[in-house]
Amino acid sequence: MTESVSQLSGVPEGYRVRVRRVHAGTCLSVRLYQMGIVPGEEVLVKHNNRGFIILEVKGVEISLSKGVASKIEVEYLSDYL
Amino acid sequence: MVLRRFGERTCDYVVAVVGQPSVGKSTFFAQVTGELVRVASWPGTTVEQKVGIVAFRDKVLCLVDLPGIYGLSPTSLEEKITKNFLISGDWDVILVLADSLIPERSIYLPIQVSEMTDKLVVALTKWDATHKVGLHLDVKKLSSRLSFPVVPVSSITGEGIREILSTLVDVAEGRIKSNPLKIDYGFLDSYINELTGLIGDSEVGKLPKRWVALRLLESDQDIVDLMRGRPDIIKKTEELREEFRKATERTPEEIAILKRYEYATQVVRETVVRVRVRPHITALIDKIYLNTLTGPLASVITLFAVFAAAFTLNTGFPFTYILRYLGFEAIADALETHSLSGLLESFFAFVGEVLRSGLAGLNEELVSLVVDGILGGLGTVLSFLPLIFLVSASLSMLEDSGLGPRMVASLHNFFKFFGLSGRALYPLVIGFGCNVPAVYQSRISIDEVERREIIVSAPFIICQARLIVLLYFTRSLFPGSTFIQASVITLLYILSIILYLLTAKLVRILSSVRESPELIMELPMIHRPSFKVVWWGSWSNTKHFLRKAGIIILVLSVLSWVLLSYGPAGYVDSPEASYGAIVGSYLGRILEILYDVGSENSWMIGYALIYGFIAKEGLIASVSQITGLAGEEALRSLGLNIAQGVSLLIFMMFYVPCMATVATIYQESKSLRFTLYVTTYLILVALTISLAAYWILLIA
Repeated sequence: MTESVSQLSGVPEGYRVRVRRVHAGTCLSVRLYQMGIVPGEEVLVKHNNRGFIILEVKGVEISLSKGVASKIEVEYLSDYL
Repeated sequence: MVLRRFGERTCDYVVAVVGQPSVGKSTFFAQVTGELVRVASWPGTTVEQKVGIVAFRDKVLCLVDLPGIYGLSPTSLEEKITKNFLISGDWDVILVLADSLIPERSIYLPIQVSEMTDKLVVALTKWDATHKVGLHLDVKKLSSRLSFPVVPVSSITGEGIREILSTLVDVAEGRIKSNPLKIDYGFLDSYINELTGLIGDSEVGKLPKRWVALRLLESDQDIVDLMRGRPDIIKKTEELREEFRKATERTPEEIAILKRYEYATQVVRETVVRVRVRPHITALIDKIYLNTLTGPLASVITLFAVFAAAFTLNTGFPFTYILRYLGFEAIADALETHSLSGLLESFFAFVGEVLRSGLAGLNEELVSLVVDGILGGLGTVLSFLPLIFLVSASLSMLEDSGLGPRMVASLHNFFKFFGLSGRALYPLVIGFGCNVPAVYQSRISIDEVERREIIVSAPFIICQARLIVLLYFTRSLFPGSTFIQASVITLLYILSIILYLLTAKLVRILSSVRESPELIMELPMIHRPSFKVVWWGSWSNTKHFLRKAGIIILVLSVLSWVLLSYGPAGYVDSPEASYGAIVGSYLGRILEILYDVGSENSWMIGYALIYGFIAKEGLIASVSQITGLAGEEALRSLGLNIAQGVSLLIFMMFYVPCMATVATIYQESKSLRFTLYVTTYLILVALTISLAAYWILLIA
């Protein structure tokens, strides 16, 4: 199962992943957590281009720049593998 | 003790209104409150405090509008205001707005607030749309599960508004009581309990001890400050945090947020049924605006179209230039005189004439003060209003529809290149109307360096006042050739955007944090903008400008009238003998050396530059006043050649925008030294580019 772990920034469009960890400073992590991007949460990657990705989290679309997305560790849900 | 006075109004109950961003708070306020009172600023900030007053039954409720927050751990300046107000206890009831369309996320904030108080009412907003998107919420069950009153409301249909008011009064008067929520924090609970036991009654006021303990463990700086009198507790907190981290490899704040969300998800699972409906418009818009290639293009085209329309309504420019270029002179002239600015201008000219003839025979000095000084200043202030209103309305429309945030996302990569985030789009765009609100916009940044970048860069954007100078100057320098005029104008606009971006980059390079700020932003569903929200947003922006910048401009107009009407010999008829001329002549001498300007006119340009430092449109007005000629002829009488004209025009565009902007930079930075640095930088950059242009044009 180790290959199923990845950075959120590398997840292709249309994939559903589960958040594992956020590797960021307190301020950034808390901001992400408060918006619903918490470990264990399933999120849908709706768009992914060079600059930013669009996630659907708890029914809300949130855009994150690539820098932030690369700090979020996720795992693919098994039905995609 | 709750302070129950806001401005002139006394309130029976103070209601703190909070919600996550995009919850529909503005629409709610527009629907609920009959009257809006603005009360100075929040302590220590320049963010305006807005209070809505509602009379209900025989009580007066004051609803305090607080900036949006996601949770009680603030990450920006505005969010801190909300947090501080909630902790201060200066309220009788907290009203939390929660978006009924996204219950999984929006219920988080009410849950967190309910841990700190039982004086809480929750309003589920956008209730009219809930069923349309396939959501069904069991409100009764939700309310009993959470043990605080939950009322569905729709700001569009007005449903639930009366009920929310009566519930607020009932909670304030103790007729409805709720129990504070106790969330199961799992492993963290034993730590919370240990710390709770140490806290005494006197230290926490009306805040629950358990909550204070939890927040201490979550490293809430405000609560740490609150407990400063108990170093033993602070020390214990540190030990417990360290112990927790060692045991779990997680921070307490991470676990706490996680557990609250778990609780929220659980509650929603029990009370919400979801039938998936796909919103097609949003999907289509996303496809266009979020695509790497079409996104930035579509965003720029949209912005250009919207603002070209706003500008045309205001002065006729740029549409009149296209008309003139195509040979439709008469239509262009008619459009100009019937534009909002044109109408205002003729109105003030008319009032001025009436006053002058009405006051004829009275003291000449007094007539001049009233007509040229006061009325002139008033006209200047008012002449700004249409564009500021139009630009704010356009921006609110884009923002409220959900299109704005998508444009910000798609342009993020571009701005990132200059050390900014996509959010820097808003100040840039607002700046074309006026630099004062552009500098205020720096507050939206969550990154302190980006805030400074915007404050320093915004003054380079060519605002409306400078556009007027630009139009007059190009017309007088290149008479008859609309094409050259339009090209010079376009080039200067491009130059101003380049200066905005490069300055931001420079500030970023000089700062301690080299990396560009990241973008974390919610994209609300695309919908038709609400007229009420747009009106409210833009009117409040316009009024804000009127109060803040308007007064400064009016006072300075009168002051400059004094400078121009008095000299060492007292009241003077001709401005040549005035104090203004004396000061101007010093600057004029420098201009003679730098730009080889004729000595007989140099003092006028010097004087105009000083006047332009106060307010940009004063550049033309002062020359007209001195020469007694209308705009273009007045400029022509200065006898500038093209090299001198263009280079001086460049200098006028980029040296300090106006006193009001400088005052705003000071307000936002709270540092005299910073303000001085920025001003010096602006003047130096303007002078360098202007001299470079002068020498290039001389050689060419």
